[in-house]
Amino acid sequence: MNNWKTQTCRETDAFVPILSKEQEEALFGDFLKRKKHQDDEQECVIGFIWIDGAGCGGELASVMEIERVYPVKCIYMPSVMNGVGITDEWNLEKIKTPYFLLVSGGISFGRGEMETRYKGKILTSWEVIEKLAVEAVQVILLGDCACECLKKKFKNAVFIPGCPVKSEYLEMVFKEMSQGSVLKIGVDGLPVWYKKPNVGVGKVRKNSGGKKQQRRFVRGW
Amino acid sequence: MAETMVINPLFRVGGKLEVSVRIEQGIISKAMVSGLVRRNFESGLVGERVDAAWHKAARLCAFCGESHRFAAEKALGIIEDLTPLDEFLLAFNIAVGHIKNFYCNILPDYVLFKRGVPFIIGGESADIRFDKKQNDLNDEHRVKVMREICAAIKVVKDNRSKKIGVIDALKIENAILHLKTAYEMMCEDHDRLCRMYEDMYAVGGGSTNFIDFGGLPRCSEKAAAVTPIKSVVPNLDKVTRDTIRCWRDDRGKICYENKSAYSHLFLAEYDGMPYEMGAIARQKIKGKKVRCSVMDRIDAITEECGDIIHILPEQLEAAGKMGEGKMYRRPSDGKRIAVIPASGGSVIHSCRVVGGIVKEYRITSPCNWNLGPQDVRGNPSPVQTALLGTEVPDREGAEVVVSRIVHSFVPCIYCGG
Repeated sequence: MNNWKTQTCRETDAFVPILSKEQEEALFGDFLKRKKHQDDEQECVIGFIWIDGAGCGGELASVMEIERVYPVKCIYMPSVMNGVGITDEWNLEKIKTPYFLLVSGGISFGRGEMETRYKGKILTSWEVIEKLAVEAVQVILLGDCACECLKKKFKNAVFIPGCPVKSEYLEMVFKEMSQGSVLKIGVDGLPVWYKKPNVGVGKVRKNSGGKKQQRRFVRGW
Repeated sequence: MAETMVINPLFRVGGKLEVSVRIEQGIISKAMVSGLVRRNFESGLVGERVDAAWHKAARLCAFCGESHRFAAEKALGIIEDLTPLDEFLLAFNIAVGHIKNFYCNILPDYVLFKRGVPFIIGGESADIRFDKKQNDLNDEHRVKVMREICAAIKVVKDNRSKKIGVIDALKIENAILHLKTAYEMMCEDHDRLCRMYEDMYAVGGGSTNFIDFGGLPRCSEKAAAVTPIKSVVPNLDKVTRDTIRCWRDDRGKICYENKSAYSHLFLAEYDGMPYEMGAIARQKIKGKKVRCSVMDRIDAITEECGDIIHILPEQLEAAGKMGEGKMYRRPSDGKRIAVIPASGGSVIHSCRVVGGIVKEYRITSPCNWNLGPQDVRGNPSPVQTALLGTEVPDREGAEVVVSRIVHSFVPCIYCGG
């Protein structure tokens, strides 16, 4: 019996074309100057790696609403649970080209739930992210789930909350990446162009012990 | 020589699936479909206050979000029934879901898209029969259709959130026009696809039991469970969940000790038998003479999408006459069940509320009917039935055929895990 397995994490052609040397330098110029790789191993050109944890696919739906296609190469990891998302074939140590790390969906820190086997070791979702975050140019957390799960773990990450993140904001992320710039962080880790929504401000209700209630869920009751 | 092939991940727009097939003498003799996303939603809702549970359950799935939202509202007792506006939004969401599924889930198996749908996992199909001109036309249509869909969604979003339950009907008419334009292009692409891949009418059949719980006004109002022997009005008490090959028990608690388990999805059954759900089931129940195959499922999706878009103006007119906003009520304790149509079939939410706190919550999604594992008696799920006995030319061809069969079921499994 011949057992074989297809490659788990393929480079998708979502944001073709592959970056040329010039584009790559424009995109990651400063970073490349700081980091020189001497080894002869084949390097894969990556714009960003997207780890989609346990979520509703809202960010994916928002990406589908983006009209323009930006020249950024992407590797999309659907999940890191039960062996999906990362395997031995996808060699984490060989990623030498700088990349952005995008995280969306719920991320687990505990053992026994969302974990994957990688080179004989069992890694949790968080451990995979931690491993990839070391070399990442910038970590971008997309959506309320990822922001909530990882807010205490990353101090310099870009937080883009929303349930789901608006497609306009995702478009801004890809636009800035394709222009070769890292996202400028404003207040509370939010990108400078992020506008806080008006909903959910809340007011103090009687007998609520001073706890704020979200307005949209009290209305009509 | 027998060989086992594992395709992982096999999905496009929603969910994380692993498909393992055993091929003997060019025929698929064994098939296992594993849903690999576990979100533990049911357990997460237990112990929550009703308003918090509503907030969470409404965010169960990004692709059939409206269906889950209304199902949660009904099951939690926040609303009595859907308003005309809810019905319009539901129908709109289902039509958008069908078009998105056609272009982002199904078509990439047959067409070589230049720029690619976001995240085509599984690479390009090895069996592309369209010439360059036709390919380019399909590609151009996809870009245009997605633009129309985006515009339609934006129009609805911008005009419905100012006051709960009230919409500006005049402005939303534009959204229907966008959908109609998108649907016209979808029909053209669908016609080309049917003619070019006629052989797909003979692949991926096998299902004989079909079920739908109705509730889609003017499109699938009739609920029925159809088998080759009889057709009955389904009784919700007979809907069961088979967790024998699922990594969780009946209460939703995880149990990796179950050695026969291979999926996070449980199999939903009616009267102890697996049933197929979705647009094709609705077409059959409506009395249309449709067969069951990969291309028949695609035909059913296209036809249903047209039917829904056709009734949208009427629904919008009814919604516009509502005048006042949607009325929510203070939920009372008790056990309730809600069934709401979605693009992939019907979603069922059932819950028990005691003292304003959710004590039990159960969600059954279309993927639990179509993409679940085998049941306790060894009956294969609809997707396994479709895969079994399929002739495959070689290893590369097998991947293409398996991909086409699974994608015809519209595998969005976010809400089933």
